Amino acid sequence: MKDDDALKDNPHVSRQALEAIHSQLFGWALTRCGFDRAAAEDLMQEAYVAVLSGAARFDNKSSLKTFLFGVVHNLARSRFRQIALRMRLVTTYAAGAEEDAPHEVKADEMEIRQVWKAVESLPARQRDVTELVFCRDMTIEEAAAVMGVTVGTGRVHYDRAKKALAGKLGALRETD
Amino acid sequence: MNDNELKQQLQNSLQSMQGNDLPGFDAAWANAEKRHLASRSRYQRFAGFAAAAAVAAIAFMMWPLNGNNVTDIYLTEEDLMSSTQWMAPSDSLLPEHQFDIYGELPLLIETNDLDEGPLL
Repeated sequence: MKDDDALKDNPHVSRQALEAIHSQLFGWALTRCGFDRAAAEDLMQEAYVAVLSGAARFDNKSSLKTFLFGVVHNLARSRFRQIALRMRLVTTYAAGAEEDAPHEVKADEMEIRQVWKAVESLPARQRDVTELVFCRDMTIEEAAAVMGVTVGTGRVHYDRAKKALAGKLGALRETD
Repeated sequence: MNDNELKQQLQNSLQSMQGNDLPGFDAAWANAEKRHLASRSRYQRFAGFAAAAAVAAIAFMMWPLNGNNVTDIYLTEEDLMSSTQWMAPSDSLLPEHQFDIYGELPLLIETNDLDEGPLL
């Protein structure tokens, strides 16, 4: 891919191509930051700066989407590791408070959100592969590339995640 | 539950969690470009400062040589007029020991003595 509006330090990336996957990428950044919008916007800008400066260089070996998801994933892991840990602690301890205020969210929406809570309760890699394959329309191979693991490892996480999710969602239905 | 049902359920759930009002690309891109330009100019300023500091350090180190040694030692008229000998400034850089290329170098090359190190 080499467009007219290709970036100077990243000739295989164009502004147009980035714009086309912006919303998906933001969604991915949002889940990386525990749905903190400000942090996700900051993470997105960091990713774009890395692409603009050529610090993250796309060489056409994978799809642009896989590459950018990997960039966001790595940035989130390195720069927001501590923040994410703190946020996870906060959400863990704030979970009780959230449940105390069910009137703010509609009952059916609450039920839908419970599904994502089940995803969030999975181990990190299972959670990532679930999101990438089921919600971001990636293959297991692409998801493995984003996560920086081998395809075999990706498959194992995918299988385990599916089994665990089936159990958790089954339990959710029974309680309803 | 099959894969399609699970996929639909997860996509609905994620959509509900992340909301619909995603920030526009143009604003994010403009901010990224601003940050990129700012970091580049910061880097250029730092590089300029480092280069200036290096030039200043070299000039400072060379200043005593130009000021004292060269002028005072070699260009004094009295010294030149009171002696019949003169040595070029660059002669001081020559090695004191001069090799006899016929006498010494063949010995060095032909030696098998390991104490001298792995020369050959």
